[in-house]
Amino acid sequence: MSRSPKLVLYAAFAAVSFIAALALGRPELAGLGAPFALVLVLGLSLPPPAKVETSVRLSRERVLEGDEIEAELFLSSPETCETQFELVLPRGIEPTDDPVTFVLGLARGRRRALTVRLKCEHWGAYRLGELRLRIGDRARLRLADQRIGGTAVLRVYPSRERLQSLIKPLETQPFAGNRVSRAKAEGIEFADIRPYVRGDRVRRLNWRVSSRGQTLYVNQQHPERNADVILFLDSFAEAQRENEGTLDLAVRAAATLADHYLAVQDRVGVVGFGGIVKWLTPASGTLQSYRIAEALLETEVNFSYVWKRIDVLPARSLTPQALVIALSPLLDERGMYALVDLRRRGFDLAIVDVSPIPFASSSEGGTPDPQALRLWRLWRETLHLRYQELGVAVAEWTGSESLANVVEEVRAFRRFAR
Amino acid sequence: MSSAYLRPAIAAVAIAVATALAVYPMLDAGRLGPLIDALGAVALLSLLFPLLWRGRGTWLALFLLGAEYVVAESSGHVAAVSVVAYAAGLIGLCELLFWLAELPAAASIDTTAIGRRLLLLALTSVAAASLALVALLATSVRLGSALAALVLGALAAAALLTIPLLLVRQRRRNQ
Repeated sequence: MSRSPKLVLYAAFAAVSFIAALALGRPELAGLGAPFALVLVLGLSLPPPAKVETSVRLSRERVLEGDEIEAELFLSSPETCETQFELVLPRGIEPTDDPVTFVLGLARGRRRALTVRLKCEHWGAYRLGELRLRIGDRARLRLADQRIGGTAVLRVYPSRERLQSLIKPLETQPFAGNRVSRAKAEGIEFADIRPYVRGDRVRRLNWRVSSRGQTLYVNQQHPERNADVILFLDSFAEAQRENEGTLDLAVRAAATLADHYLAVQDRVGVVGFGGIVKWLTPASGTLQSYRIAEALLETEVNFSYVWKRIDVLPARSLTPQALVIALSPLLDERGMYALVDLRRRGFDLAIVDVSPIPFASSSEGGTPDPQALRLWRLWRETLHLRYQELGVAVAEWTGSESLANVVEEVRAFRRFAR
Repeated sequence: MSSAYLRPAIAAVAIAVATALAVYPMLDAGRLGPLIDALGAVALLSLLFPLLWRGRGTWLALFLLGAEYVVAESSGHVAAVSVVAYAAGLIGLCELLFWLAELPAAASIDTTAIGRRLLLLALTSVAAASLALVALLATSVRLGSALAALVLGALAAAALLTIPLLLVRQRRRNQ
């Protein structure tokens, strides 16, 4: 609790008035100072500022980027008081129009409710409801500052883009799915014919070919299988400017890809490869979609000097014959070598280079030197070529164009490479 | 209500009250006129500090207006009864300036809070005027004996000592 400047000024003015009245022998001066003394006496005899209790209720706890929510603030106090408070919002959550500072008169024991509209600008897990309060007694002579931590948890999931097509995995898994496998087994898509062997079903006989060849032939089909897709997020380093960075773009791309692959029955896993290594083993279904969304919310750049290799990942996080889609700004050597390592271990790899170039700035924060930028671009192009020599499709994504274009670029490369 | 509307309104009322307080002693200043005029003008100028810098320098405006009144009153050109209105005006001005200082630049102000503040302002001004009148009447009383004067003086001193006593009690309660 602190004394307000009013208390000090009133006390000083009253004291000076009384002393001057005595010294000059003029009673009117005492009359001038007496009201200030009265306010002090009455104000200080009133109860001190009471503690205000608050709670927050959100209209929704899970939203997508760009959505608006309503936060209802409840305040109550055991004493009648006036409180001034500010709703402290984390970065990424903005008020729509209204101010987030309020001056509210609270009556003893009565709960007041206020509604604030908020816009979720950036993905992430947020704790809302942090309040900075200033409570005064009735005469505003004593002030108490109170800080109340947030209790309501809001999860803002990254926004998704629409994709026309997906990067096709080279290999499928043994589980049923929507992809036509390259293997031959029971299925719908015609694959080949072969001579009949004991045990083949009669319904699979190809009578037309059999009648021509004087021996029995059966049809072979491609089975419908699913695929494993690993979204590999390189979180060693990121390029950032204001509220946007390469990691934000990578997370949005990962959320989009995960949703689309899960929609076609594929199993999707996530590997966060950075200062802290995190993984989510591949699985399919709605539950996995939620798991991935939660895992992506926790993605952040953790600074570390430790040299990490792919070996640190458990085997089940990188399933054999999985398609690995790496979302990397290609800024940190550890991430770059990990991708080469993955390819050399035989993984079907595609890289979406989340370009840090649009976030580049000079050391003073201005426009970067064009010469340096050109050299950097050349170096990155060389890097792309090196990956392409290893048979890895690389497509640059600046964030300004649609992710669908990048997917198409990767698909085109993979078609050509085959 | 938005503080964007309330703040200019409070500032306008504060300026009006301060102008009235500064001008009143100037009306019949007599031979100390230049000094009173200068004090009033400086007091009005000093009002810019609390208006523009969130209540800073309120003390300067208050003491200058007080000094202006004392000078005018001591020269005998202002009626003694005017202290009642002047005291109410001074405390009202201070309350307005402190209210203005507390209000954030962009905030939503609850009408209950505004109502309570206006009530507090009115009560303070009325109480100030009443107390100034009582103080004026009390000081004009002619006591017959020295003993009665001693008792009254002791009571007044005890009343004054209540303030530091309350402050000390408050500090102990906080500890």
